[in-house]
Formats: sequence, structure tokens, C-alpha cells
Amino acid sequence: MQETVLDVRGTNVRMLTAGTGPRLLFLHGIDGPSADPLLEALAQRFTVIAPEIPGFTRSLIPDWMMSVSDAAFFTLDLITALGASKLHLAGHSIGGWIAAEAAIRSTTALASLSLLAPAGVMPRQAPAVDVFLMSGEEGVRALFHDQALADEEIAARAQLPLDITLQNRAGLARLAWTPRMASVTLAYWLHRIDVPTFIAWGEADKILPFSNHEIFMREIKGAQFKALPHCGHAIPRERGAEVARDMTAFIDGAK
Amino acid sequence: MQVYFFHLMPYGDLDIAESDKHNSAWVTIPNTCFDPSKGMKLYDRYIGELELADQLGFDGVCVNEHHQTAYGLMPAPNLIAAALARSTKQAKICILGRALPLVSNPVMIAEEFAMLDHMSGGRIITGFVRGIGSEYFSNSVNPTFSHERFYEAHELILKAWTDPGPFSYQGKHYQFDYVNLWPRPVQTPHPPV
Repeated sequence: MQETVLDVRGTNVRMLTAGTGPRLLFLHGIDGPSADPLLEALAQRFTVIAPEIPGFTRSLIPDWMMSVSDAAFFTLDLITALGASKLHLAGHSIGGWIAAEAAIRSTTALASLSLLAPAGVMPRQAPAVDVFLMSGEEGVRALFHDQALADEEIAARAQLPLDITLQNRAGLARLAWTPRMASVTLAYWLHRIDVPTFIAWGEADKILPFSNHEIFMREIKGAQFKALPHCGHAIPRERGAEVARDMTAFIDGAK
Repeated sequence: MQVYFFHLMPYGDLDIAESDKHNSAWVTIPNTCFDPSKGMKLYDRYIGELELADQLGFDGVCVNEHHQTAYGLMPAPNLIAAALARSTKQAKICILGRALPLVSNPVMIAEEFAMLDHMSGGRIITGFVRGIGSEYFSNSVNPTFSHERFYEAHELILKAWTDPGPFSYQGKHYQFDYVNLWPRPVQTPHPPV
């Protein structure tokens, strides 16, 4: 994967890009962007563009960006800055929320929308855990159904500079502290999404309840849903290749 | 040198064995661990100790703010300070401190302190803090804006105490069209911070 920096109206956005084909903009989950199995598989068919959401990893958040609403408009500006024709928008977790919020504002530049365990709606049942109330290792374990993958992730994160981990936590808190990982109003506006939409959710998701998918499916007309048994919140790592196949088939079928 | 008596008002009757079953004595420890009948006696005892400190000649008595914890039973330190304003005679009453970023209305803190200044005969000393991490869980306030909110609220409170009202304050986190404190504080230019 290649790393580039794009200036979006004065804010520098670091991006990983890979692959060739139609462009797919992927907004990462709560732990920042990474070359995970999902992006690697998507890059077989798409030009994958995976920016750091401002506030995450090595990107500072601009003073004026105070909410997911701001991040959503910024995403539309980012798409404008990338130029040219429509692209496929996708996001996981916090990134899925931002993608959905961008789409309720405008789908003019979108060819499709894919939401993987998106945050953003008020859960009807309390999440099993609070992402901000766990120690590092405990927090990683809660992301995965497959604890062998959690072991790998814990080992990998031990190699990461601490400031990146802290920056990801602060970036998430900035956008998603109250209400936790949710918006009071997003569900009301989801009906505005008028592009082909694909949604996937891990049945064993402890961070964002699996049942949240019902709200997205009820409000977004014609959306396609994929339930992932034996999968936690970390869809890109736990089921990346499989979900990439499903997304690709969905996008191909929706043409 | 002056000597001050600082009370944290812990829940001394906490069942340690029960407490150890939980991750923390803050935020998530169930409040079923708190026995109101014991709590009432503790408040009586602790306020009595602060009053005794005044009678014994301490230069000041101090209270502070913590939320949802067995560590301290003073989520609203101004309530204790209000009781002490009437029952103590000579000691300074120090509120160290109110956690500014936790509130949505810092003008109310300015108002309460101005009231306490009057009720105590100009004996209060104020303190402003950001509060420790757990307070941002208990009060549902975004910790990433803590610094900004602290400095903004601090500025607003000092202006409310000193600038003639009504005036308008338009910040990033706090906006008030009318700031016009009734009462203004007794001490000039304002209570010590």
C-alpha cells in the first residue's frame, strides 16, 4: 500500500492507497487505518483509498471539527478534493457512522455505500462493553470473537508507538463520547440515502449491538444485509476477505 | 504560615470485600454498596469535624468535588460550603475546587460562589479544576474538550464577577447573551481563586 497526503481545504489527510479499478473510499474503524485483510482483498478489484479520519493515528483534528456532522461534511469535501467521477463509499464502525452521515447529506458523488458494523444509531439494548472503559488488552479482546486473532492483535499493538494508540482513543472520544458512539437523530435521516447500500454486522459484536442493523435496514430502502456468525466488531480482521467478496458482488450486482 | 483543614468525606463504611468484587471504587461501583442510614451519620460527623476545625482555630476549612465514588461524598461541594457558611465563624471556606468543564452553565458556578461569598461574610476562597478522568464518565462530558472548556469557563466566571452586567459572552463552548450576576460577590475585585 502506498501512502500519500492530500490537502483538503487546508487540512492534510494521510491516505493509504492500493489496487486498481473503480475508486472505493474506506473510512476506518475505532483504531485507525491499517492494511488489514479487508483492504487487501478490496484492492484486488478497486482502487482503495483509506484516509486517516482527522484526529486518528497521525492526523491532527482541526479546531473546528467538533462532531461527526463536521467529519461527514469534511468527507464530502475530501471526495471533492479527490476529484473526478463518483466513487464507492465504505466505512467500519466510527467510519461507517461518518459515511452514513455523509450520505444523508449528499449522495451526489456516491456510487454505493457499504456500512460494516456502523456506529451512529441509539441502541435499543446497551452494548456489552464501553470502549472507553477498558484497558488496552481488555479492549482488544472485546473487539474479537476469535480470541486467537485478539492474541495476534495484542502482540501487533505492543509494537505500535504509544502516541498512536492514544491519538486513536482521543480521536474517537472527540467524535463519539456522548451519546456513546451514536447520534440521537441519524436514524431519522437515514431514509435520505438513495444509493445501493450494503450492511454487514458481526453477530457477536460487543461494541455495537448486532440488533442495531435492524434500524439501518428499516430506514435505508433496498439495503442488502449480511449477518456474520461467530464474528465480533473487528470485521475487517475477522472476516475481511469474505466481506470483501460480498461487497464486490453487491456492487457488481447493483450496476 | 497558615493551617487549613481539608476534608474529602470518604464513604468510610465501604465493605472492602464487596468493593473488591468490582473493577473500581469509581463510576461503576454499584450504589447498593452505599447505605443511606450510615451516610446520614457520616455527613453529620464530617460537617461536625469541619465546624470543629473552625472552633479550634484552623485558618480555613476545605471541601472538594468528586462524583459517583466511595472516595468522597461531595459531588456538590457548594452545598457543604453553604452549611459551613452559617455554622463556622472565622475560618476561610475553601472550595478546592469546582470542576469547570463538567458543567454546561459556568455562570451558575459564578452565581453560587457569589451567594456563598455573601452568606459567609466574604470568607470564601475558590478553586477551579478540570476534574480527573472518571468525572468525564460520570458527567457524560467529552474529555477531549476539557482544556478548552476549562479556560473558557474560567474566563467567563471571572468576567461575570468583575465586569458590569449585563454583557454578552460568545465562546466556542459557552454562549450567553445575558451575563448579569445578582448578587455580585462581596470580596473585591472577586473572591480569591
